[in-house]
Amino acid sequence: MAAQLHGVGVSRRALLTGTATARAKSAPGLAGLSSSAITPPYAAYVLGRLGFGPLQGSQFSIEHFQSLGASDDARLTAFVDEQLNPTLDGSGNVVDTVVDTRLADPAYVTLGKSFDQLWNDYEVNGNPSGGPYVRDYPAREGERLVFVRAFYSRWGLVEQMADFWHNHFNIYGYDRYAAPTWSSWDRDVIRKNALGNFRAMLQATFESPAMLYYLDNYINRAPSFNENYAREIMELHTLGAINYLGPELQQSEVPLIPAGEDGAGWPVGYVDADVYELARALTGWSFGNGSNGTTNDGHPAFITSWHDIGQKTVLGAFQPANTPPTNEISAFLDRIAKHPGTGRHIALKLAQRFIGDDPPQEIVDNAAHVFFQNTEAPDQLKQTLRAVLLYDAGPGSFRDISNFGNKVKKPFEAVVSALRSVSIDFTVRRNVDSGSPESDSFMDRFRRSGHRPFDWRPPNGYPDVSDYWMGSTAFVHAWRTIDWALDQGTGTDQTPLAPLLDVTLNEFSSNVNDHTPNKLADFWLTRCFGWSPDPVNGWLGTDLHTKVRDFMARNTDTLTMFPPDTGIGAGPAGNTLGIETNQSPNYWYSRLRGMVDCVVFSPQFMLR
Amino acid sequence: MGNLTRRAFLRNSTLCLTALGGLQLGFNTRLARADWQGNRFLVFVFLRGGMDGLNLVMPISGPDREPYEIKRPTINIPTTGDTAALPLSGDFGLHFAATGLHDLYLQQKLAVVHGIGFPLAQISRSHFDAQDYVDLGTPGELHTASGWLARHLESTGQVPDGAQIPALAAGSAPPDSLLGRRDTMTLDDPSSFHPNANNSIRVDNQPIYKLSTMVTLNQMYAGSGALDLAGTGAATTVELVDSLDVADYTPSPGANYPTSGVASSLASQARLIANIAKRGLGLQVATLDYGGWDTHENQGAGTQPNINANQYAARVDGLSQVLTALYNDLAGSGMADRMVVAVQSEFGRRVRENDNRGTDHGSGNPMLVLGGRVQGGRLFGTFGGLQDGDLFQNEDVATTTDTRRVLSEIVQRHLGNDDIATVFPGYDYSVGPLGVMPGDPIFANGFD
Repeated sequence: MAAQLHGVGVSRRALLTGTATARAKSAPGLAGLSSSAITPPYAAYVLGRLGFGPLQGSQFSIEHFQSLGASDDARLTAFVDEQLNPTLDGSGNVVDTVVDTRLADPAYVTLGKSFDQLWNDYEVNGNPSGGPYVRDYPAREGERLVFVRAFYSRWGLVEQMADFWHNHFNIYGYDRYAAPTWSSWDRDVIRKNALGNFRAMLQATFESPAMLYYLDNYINRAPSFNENYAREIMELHTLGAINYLGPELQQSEVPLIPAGEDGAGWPVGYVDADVYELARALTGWSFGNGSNGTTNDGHPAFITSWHDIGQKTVLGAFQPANTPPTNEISAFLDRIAKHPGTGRHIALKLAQRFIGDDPPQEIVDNAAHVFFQNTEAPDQLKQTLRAVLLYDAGPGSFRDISNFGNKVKKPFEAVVSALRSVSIDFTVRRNVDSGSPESDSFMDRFRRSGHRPFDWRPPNGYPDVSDYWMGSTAFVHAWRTIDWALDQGTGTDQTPLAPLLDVTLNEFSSNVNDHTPNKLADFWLTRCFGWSPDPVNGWLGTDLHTKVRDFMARNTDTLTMFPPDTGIGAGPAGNTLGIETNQSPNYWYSRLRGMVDCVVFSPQFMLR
Repeated sequence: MGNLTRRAFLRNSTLCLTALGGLQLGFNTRLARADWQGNRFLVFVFLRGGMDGLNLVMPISGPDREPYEIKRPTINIPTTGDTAALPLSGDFGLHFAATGLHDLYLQQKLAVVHGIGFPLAQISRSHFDAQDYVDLGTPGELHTASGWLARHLESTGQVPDGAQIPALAAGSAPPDSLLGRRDTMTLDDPSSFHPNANNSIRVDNQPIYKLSTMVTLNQMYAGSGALDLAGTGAATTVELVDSLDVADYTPSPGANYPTSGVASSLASQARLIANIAKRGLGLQVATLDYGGWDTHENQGAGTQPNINANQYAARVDGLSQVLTALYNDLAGSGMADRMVVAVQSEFGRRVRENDNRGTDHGSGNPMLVLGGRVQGGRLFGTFGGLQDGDLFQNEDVATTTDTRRVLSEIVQRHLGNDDIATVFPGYDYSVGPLGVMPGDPIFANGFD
């Protein structure tokens, strides 16, 4: 079939309509996604992959990466190990001084609360008669705080992994029980376990009222049962659909894993009967909400009369009738979490996240083995991720920079990396007492990109493949959000959120003779990317520089150009308005912001 | 700028890469078939989440009525009262909330095909695998590099070479049915659809640097990679939305798109499809996604007429209102014959309701086909029956008609593409059409 679709030559038209050639999945390296891309320095590639791009002056910067060793390999290993071992406080939460300082803003009120406090304040008392509706404060803080962390975090890999697991164990943020407990879900379930033990993480999700509600287990009862949670545990959370053998086979017909392989003697995958047996085991597992004899505390609750006490078999693990239910469900979740298929599924998803849509099989197999070997280890996921990032399987491994450009930034990544790169000063937060109307404006604009945090309703999480994000809606609304942020002021004096003028004057030059379109374009390309292609000429002479420079020089009539090597505002008569002015005919300050837009809208910037 | 209007300024600009009339997303390598004059298009509506088709089209009499009521004690749709099923043909009725669709059935514009799905070996009760099978059009194969609608666009000879918008994904992202097609317009809403969000300096009521930004975007994305093409597509879409004044649209009288409720987004997207379809821009396929059908619990009591207390009925009501408005919108402009709307889900649900007054994942399901040329007012295919021996795995409505059979018929008889082997590789269409579409094309000549 591919050949049939392929035979249309190499013209631009053919590429536009060529169904087989255009898929990111089959596009190798640079040439695949943008023919104009320049290979960045190794450090920039790594920082773009492991986090949201370099943050000048932080431990997540090109300078810091470069300080970690004598070769790219040594620096990569040191940097990955540093990122995999973030500073923790006494409660096991990651310490990030810059982020923590911003999140101390009084508009954030739910982050320090325990699960029990959240339940009391937002579930039990979330919607008091006559009182304010506060029930969704945790969710509202959660969808904003994720931007603050991504803008400023020095632990980029922790943020990427939090995003990974939020999507892996996807729940809808404003769901009935997710909204009031979100701060605990994010902190205690996702982040605490993000580099920990998978079985422990699975247990934490199983004990969450948000999950039990979202996937309907809170009403799963015998003699019939509700299979929703059981199916998604198997299909999404653990083994994955890659290990689903379909509805036709019975359990007894499933081949067993051969001797000598990980999981020898267990069934190779699961069938519908495994889902139904697990669903029976899950009958009665709910949470305290004040009904059916439970306490309204949100804690796990077992409703004995709803439980199917019969014998069950899941993935070859047999539990006789009347097994104590805690033992029974633990035995099944143990088997499922430790099955080598789960390791393969998690390893594949991690490799797709960090390496490419179609990662080398050897990397996946190796990481799956590490996962299997460490099922009891408290740092199982850290070891698995380390294997994905550092295992050398030759070309196509993470360390191979030719991977650069095989991924397109999703809207969240595009917006965050752009605003990081211009040193935006913006603590996105709830708009308490009209204290941050720009936070609402920002979220309203970003929402239209289709990538609002925690807003994916089905349980499979946002797509992680590039193709999905290459529609015009995603691009235009990510860009529109960035443009808005570069133009926006805050407070009574409307201080710009993005200090473009200050950065230009302080970091580049306050001498108007330096403010030429050529030099301004070179400065901002270097500032946003954190690197330049040439140590002497910077970006000068590149196609991208020419195009960005032309934006700066192009007069409003789009017909004539300001001289590219003349300082803006440097005279003589007719050229006295500088880049800080914003009046007819040149509107230089607006144009400067528009030029920075062009830098971060470029294909070079949209690639990872 | 002086008093130069923005439009004049676009025309005069030497830097603008494409003159206004030349803006287009579509690029085609084949010539249109000489006899093709139809300007026909397909709207593919995907009900994601597993729509419970047995409560959309259910037996209201005959031997399957009693097992329907027994197997669905609380959610069955009654035959009398406020929530009585709306009679179709024979023993079947339509959900009480689908009044608009019922009218279209009676007007013979809507057909129902029973028991669609994929062959037994390719049935999956996984939402995500099953959705991929539908989108890619290759059941059992998840790694196909293109979607079925993309392959139709690739293989059809029926997209005019000057088509500006051959494919429209109405929503925030293109579905995988269009995977691999880089000239799809993906558009959620034409308002504020440009990257210059908050520029207070305006010329001709547009942000001052909007045009210049477009020029630079086109220059930066002039390469040949997939991202370059996608970026060019985004820039072109911005310019088309603007130059065509897409935001300025008035539906035909009688096209009442709902503005609130669960289908309000679907409504604005359907409205956008009608808007684009009527402009003669070469539209060939458009897609709509409508989720929220995964009704494992409290699906809605069969006797609950209040759609605010009946989640399934609310969704059906929304779907019915939107499709009715879309049909009336096109019909009001004399273009109903150009459009076929095909509506399906990734699978149906279990025949027996669960203990939570909901339904779990099943298989066989109806497909709705709507349009001016559709042989409507009829039921097609075979309903497998609801008695114990009739059900697939003693659980589901049996799959009796391959989904691809219906879609092939639409591709061939409505869109004029005979190359079914490319659209659905591996599918044997020697079984031929069911007759949902008329056999002899009646060209809509002169409707422009």
